[in-house]
Amino acid sequence: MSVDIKKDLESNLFVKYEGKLDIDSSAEYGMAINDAIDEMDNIKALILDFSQITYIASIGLRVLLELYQKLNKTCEIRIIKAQPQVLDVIKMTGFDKFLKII
Amino acid sequence: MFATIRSKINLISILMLITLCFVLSIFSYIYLKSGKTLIIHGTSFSISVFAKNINEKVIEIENNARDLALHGELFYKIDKNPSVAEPTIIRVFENYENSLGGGIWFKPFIVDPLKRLFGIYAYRNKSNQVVVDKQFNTEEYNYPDKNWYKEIISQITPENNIAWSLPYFEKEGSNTLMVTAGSGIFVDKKLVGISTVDWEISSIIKSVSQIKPTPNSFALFADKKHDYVIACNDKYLDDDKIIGKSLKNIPWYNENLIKITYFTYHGQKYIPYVKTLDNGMILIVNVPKHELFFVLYKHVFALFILLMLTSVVITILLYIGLKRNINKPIDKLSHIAKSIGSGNLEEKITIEKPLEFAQLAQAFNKMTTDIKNITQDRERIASELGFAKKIQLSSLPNKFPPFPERAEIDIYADMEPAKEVGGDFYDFYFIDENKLMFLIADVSGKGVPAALFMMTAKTLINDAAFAESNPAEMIKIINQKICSNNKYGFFITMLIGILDTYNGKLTFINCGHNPPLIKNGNDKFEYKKLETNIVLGAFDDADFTVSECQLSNNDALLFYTDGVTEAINENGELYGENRLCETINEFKNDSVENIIKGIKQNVKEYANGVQQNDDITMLILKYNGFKTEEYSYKTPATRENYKEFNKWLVNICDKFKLNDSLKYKLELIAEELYTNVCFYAYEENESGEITVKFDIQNNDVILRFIDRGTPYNPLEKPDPDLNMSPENRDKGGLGIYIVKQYADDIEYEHKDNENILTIKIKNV
Repeated sequence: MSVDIKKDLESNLFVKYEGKLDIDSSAEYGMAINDAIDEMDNIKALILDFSQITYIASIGLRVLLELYQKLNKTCEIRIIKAQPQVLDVIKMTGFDKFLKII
Repeated sequence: MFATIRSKINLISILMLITLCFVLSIFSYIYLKSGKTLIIHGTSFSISVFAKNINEKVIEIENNARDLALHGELFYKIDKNPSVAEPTIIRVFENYENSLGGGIWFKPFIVDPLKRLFGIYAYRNKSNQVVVDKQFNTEEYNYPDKNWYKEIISQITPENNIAWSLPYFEKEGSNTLMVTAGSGIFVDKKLVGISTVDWEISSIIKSVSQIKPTPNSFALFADKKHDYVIACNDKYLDDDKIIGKSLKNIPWYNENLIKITYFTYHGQKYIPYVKTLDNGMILIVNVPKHELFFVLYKHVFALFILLMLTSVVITILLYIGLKRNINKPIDKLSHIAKSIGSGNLEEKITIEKPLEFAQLAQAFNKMTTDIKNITQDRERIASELGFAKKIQLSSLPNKFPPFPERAEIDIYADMEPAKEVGGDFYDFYFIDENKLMFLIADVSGKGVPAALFMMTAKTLINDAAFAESNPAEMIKIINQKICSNNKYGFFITMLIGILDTYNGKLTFINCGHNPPLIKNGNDKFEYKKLETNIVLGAFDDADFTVSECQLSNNDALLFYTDGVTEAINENGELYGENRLCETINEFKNDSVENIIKGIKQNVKEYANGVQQNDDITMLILKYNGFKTEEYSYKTPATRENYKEFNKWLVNICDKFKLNDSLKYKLELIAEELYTNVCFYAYEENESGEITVKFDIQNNDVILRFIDRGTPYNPLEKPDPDLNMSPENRDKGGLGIYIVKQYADDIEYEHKDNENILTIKIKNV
């Protein structure tokens, strides 16, 4: 499990993860991001790189929802480079309505 | 009995020995016979010489007697003076060497009327001087009373002027036993006296005794006319008692002695030789037969033994020679022939003599070398053929079970080539995910050509099978390709089956091949009549029809080539289709491998050593049905166990080669439902189990989730409001929603305390 988290000078938080977001790994993924957010005073945008995520289950979506609720619109959450089958699930569950899919 | 040369040599040797014995015996017999005759004659001759000798003495004595008688006549006529007569008589006797003595005796008173007796007697004394013994000319010696005088004077006539006395013992004179010959002194034809000449018996016996052709011969000298014995040296008789006696006293004597060949006397066989002297006296010499012939017997025996030994030695030498020259070479040749027969081609034979066998041995050696060369060639070819066989057999699938992961089918096949390489073949492979193509074929002809054609055909079929999925089209292509590659007029009979292992649908294409045997479930195997097409390789534009049937669980089918049904026993009878059907039904409940092996063993026993004249090939397939019950997973529903569960599911998806999209959906559905059970089905701190079953039915994937937790029907749960603002959205309910979205059908039931959720997704 490696969650690659970077922030730039403009207070954007980049998170890159490779693997599945399932019951086994989602919690850790969420915690890693949470910790990163807590360390920052100000976040302009949370950018989640989904290019290496092959799978997402409801538990993964739940992590995304929790992040959204934690940030409480203080910053934008962007999902980039999502794979089609993952995107299919995100759209099916209406998460595309509050997450910015790029 | 005398079939072998060895026994013939033995026989010849024995016959030769017998013949030689026979010839030798005859020869010896003749030799003996003529030898005997010769000896008898020879002995007779020598005895005759003796007899002649004695005869001469007798004649001499008789002549002396006559001579003396003449002197007596002169004495009487001239002076009658004894002093004149005595010297004359002495002189005369000095010439009579064989005589002991003798004299002249006048009748009484005839010389001198005053003197009654007048006799002059002279004899040879011990110093061999002839002297006159005066005492005989006295009255005391009364000679007219003497037997000899009486005997002689009584016999004498002027015509027969000689006579012999009986043997007598002269006491007064020489004191010996003697006989006396006498002659009459006639004056004017008047007998005046007699002359006598004495012959000592002992000297006669001595003479007679000298006649000894053999040591134990003995002789008899006798006067036959007057019937008295003169001399005899028969050791069984006393001389004194026999001399002068009648011949009747001789036990062995009889009148016919001259005519007989032998007589037996004191246990001894004697051959008598009878010689008659001029004056009628007889000399008989008896020779012991065994002594006479002893030397002859000895010689003949020695000769016989010598010749016998010679012939035995010759025979043995001949036997050994024949043995050495014929038997030994034959033994050597037979030994090497056996040696060659047992595969030893290194051995060489050396026979120098006889020439014929030496040539034969050379021929043998050449043959051995030739055989060796030929054998090496053969072995090379055989090893190449053996290698070809290995290649051919290895080109056929021969690893069983070939598809261990395919529980729905059992397949086994076997080919036993008639020659090193065969024209039969079988093959099987999956032409797509679920379709198994299996086939059996028989190329016309046998051996290397058929095998080469078979290899080509096998490859062509394989290529076409993957290139064209429509069976009728596929077989058409195969036929065309075989026709275009068939310059030598081969053809192939073939039976193809294509089985859809999911649903048991079976497609047959029969190109002039034996029909298959099919068993439905637990029934018996029976021949299945199929629509038959033309053999492959005949016409390149031929069309083919296919037949179809449905296999159910436990159905099985056997493909075979005519090598099975046309195997023959020692009576030339075919194994036959009925027997095959009976045999396979004996083994019908066995494993596929054991069924094939059972049939093969039965065919082998039926053939009973008769050489296999065609390839024996069989292929059996058993359909077990698509057993998805196997795909079941039971685990405590915890977060930690999820990963293993996921791995199991992914494996199944890969096994069925499900596409990525379907796989993704299945994974997702499975996770959501697993999570549900994991978090909500059981009370907190209670570890409950979840069972997941995977199944494919008619191209639908069915997942069944079973738990024994709180009864809960997820379908009753309302869908989440997707339009609700994210700040207020419920975190739960998404999982079931996703499941509902992806599943084509969901059913829930609560049964026997179990929540059973069945999800169906179409595999498109």
